[in-house]
Order: sequence, then C-alpha cells, then structure tokens
Amino acid sequence: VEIGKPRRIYRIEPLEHPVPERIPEKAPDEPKKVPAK
Amino acid sequence: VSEAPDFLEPLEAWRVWKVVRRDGVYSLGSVVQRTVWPAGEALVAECLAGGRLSRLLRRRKARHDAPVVDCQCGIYAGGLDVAGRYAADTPFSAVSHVLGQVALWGTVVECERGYRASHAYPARIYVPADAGEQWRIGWDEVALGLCRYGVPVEPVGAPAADATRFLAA
Repeated sequence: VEIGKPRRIYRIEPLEHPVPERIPEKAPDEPKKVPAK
Repeated sequence: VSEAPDFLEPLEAWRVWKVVRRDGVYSLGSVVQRTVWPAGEALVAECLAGGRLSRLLRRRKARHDAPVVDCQCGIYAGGLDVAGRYAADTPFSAVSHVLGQVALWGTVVECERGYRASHAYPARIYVPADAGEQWRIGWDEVALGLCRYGVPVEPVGAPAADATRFLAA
C-alpha cells in the first residue's frame, strides 16, 4: 500500500461542513408562457 | 458523554481521480476501486477489503466501520508525490485523470505517507492539459463538467504526467 503503515487515529468533526451547497446541474428551463385568455 | 474531537477542521491531502462520463455527466471516480464520488454529498467509506466474493461471505459476520487501524479500508489520500504516481498512468475506462486536494474528516487513520478516512469530499480539482479524449473532448469540457461538485476547478498548464511537478512549483 502506497501510504504505508498506520501511525495514529484521529476524530475530526469540522465546525463548517466541507461539502458545499449543491450547484444545479443545468440551468432551469425558462417558464412556459401561458396564453392569455 | 462522547469524546471531544481531535480537530475541528478537515484535513486536506492530495489524490488522483479518474473522470468518468455517463450520459454526458462527468463524475470523479476512484482510481483503484470502482467508486464514483457523489456531487453535493460526502463520500462515506465502507470496508471493501478482499473483493466482492469476500464481502458477500463476510455479510454474515459483523462488519466494521471504515477505517480501522488493522485493515486496509478507508478513503485514501496522501502527499503530492504519492498522488503523482497514479496521475501519469493511462486511465482505464475513463476519460482522463485529474488531481486534487480532498477534505478528510470523521475517523482518520494517519499513515506513514498519507491518510485513510471515513468521510471525504473534493476541495479543489486540477485538470491537466491533456485531459479528455483526443479530437472529441477537450480539457475545458472536462473542467466544466466537474464544476458540478461546487468546488474550485482549475486548469494545470501541463499534461498529467508532469502535473505534480507543476503543482509543487
């Protein structure tokens, strides 16, 4: 294994979550125009 | 009463991903395991030691959380030199390799040249100049496709084989 033998073990609890808010995968479609009655 | 954590910020280390493209969507995949990294949520480690058959047989026994010290499991990351050894390899069943820094948290086993973690998410992605497929997919399309992870994606002005030297400078 490339990273070698274990040395120690940690518990890490980030105050700020490392996952960013998800970015939309594509821009939302333009709203369809409703024909005027 | 639960024990206090050792750190309140994630560790950051380097790794290489292969870029996989399915239905026009680009994703990061692990180089060694067949794991696709989800966008917008943390990758959580599970013990994959021993291959599929071994895992099927082991389901009857108690499974352990990953990582633990006396196993090989966990999400791997290390120094730039360690990551660089994978970057130059021709990616198997993938568009290309990219490098990056990854945030590690949860349970983290520190090893001689890197880490094995329970939770991870990309922190920065570097796209080599030769990423993509010749004549079909350029590095810029790969970079744009990986923006869905919501982290900085930057070009590296060097091919994958030289990318670690470029980033270390």
